[in-house]
Amino acid sequence: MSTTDLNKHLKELYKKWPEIRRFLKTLGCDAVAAEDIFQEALLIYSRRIQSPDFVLTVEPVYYVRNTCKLLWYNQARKEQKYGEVALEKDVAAVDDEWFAKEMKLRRVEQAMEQLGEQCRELLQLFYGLGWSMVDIAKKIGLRNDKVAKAQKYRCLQKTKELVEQPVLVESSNR
Amino acid sequence: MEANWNQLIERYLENELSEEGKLAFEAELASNSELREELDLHQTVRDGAVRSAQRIQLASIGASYHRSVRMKQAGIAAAIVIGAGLTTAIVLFNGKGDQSSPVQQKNQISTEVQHADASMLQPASDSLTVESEQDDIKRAMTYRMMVPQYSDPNSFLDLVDFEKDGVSLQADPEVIDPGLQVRGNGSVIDSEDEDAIGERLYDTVVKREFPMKGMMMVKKDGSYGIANSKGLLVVVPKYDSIGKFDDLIPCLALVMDEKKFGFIDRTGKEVIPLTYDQIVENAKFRRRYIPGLRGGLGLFHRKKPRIFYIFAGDNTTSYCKE
Repeated sequence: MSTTDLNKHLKELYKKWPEIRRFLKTLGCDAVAAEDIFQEALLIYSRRIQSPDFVLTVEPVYYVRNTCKLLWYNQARKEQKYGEVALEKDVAAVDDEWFAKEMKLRRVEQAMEQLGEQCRELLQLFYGLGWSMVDIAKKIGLRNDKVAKAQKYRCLQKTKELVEQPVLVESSNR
Repeated sequence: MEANWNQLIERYLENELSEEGKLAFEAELASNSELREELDLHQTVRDGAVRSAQRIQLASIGASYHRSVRMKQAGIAAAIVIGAGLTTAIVLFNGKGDQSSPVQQKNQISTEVQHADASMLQPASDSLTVESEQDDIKRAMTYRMMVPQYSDPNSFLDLVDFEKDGVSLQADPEVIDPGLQVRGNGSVIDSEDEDAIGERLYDTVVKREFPMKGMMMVKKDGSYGIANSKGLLVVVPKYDSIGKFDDLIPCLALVMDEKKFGFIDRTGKEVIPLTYDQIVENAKFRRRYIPGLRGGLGLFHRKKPRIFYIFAGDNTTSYCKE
């Protein structure tokens, strides 16, 4: 699926937001957290459908809905609102391995949040949008592509260190 | 040593190593479990960066969705208090408008359209932009004094062909005679034969008698446009959203595309080009406030929003030009 098609598709899915919001509300989730969860679920979905081995067996909106549910239960459990919530069958149906992997990447993103703006932008532009080092150097105000490249190594190293920090590791074991 | 690993791994993944270097790295990889772990972590960080870029994209889709919802709710954001520095601008624009307005002004009123930009506090870096923005303001002011008065909308048929990707979107008036109707699914049918399958011009008719009487909003390939009641395109479907005519500025309709706002007139001409991030009407005058307005939440990634401010007046003295 091309980026344009994917964006169109996500745009359509986003229109289900009022529905999802109502749904999350019935589970006790407030509106602010709900939209974050919805976006997270859409992100997971959009990445999932792009992975080559994946075949979607349900309507996209149900996939997103289920993921929302799972994300919310996870979050609620962390916040001790729910205690031990037994996951219902349809929630468990969301493939676990993928979900765990996505949660791991989410932690990387959280680590990246702690990086400086420049580092974050550099990594996003290079890996996410595939910009050349020359363009990136111009965009974020570095002297040339060599400096940008050296900066990339530093940023990667810094992110790795942040990811490996005890706090983050601990939350991953939960 | 570890920092060197970092660089080596990255160069390996970017395929920047020489043939020998690559082989040596792979040999080391086979024997060194620590390196394997490091490589794993490295890959995860790279994936995380990709994901974080995707998240930004998604957030902007979300922001676009909320804007289009707001537009449907009438397209007005709550009034924003503007800095005192802009008062001069109001006076200036007001004065200019009085002179340049081609309309009669029996009951001259406080009609002010003013533009403000978040970057206005900084020195203007691009004089060209500033000039074009002032033109926008003048144009909006001219319309601001008008009263919408339309003749039969079906008379607007003499519009030239629209083309999108080389395909003409304009129905041929010869083919579709005035006795035909447009079905909800966008096909045009003979009004007497209910079962006939007509020529499919649009994906759907979104709303009839909208954005003005005698017109209908149509959707094609995910974009919105306007057709008259005979199904002929008046505004080619290219917008993400279309507001009602006369809602904010008489004779004009608010439109949005790619998260930018502007105004079109009834012929589809972009009177105010789609360069603004937000249209704000001063609620003090119109007392309209949209409760659904959202803020905060960190969902909107917007640098330097360009805002078009409209200060509403009441009395109007001229009519929309045909």
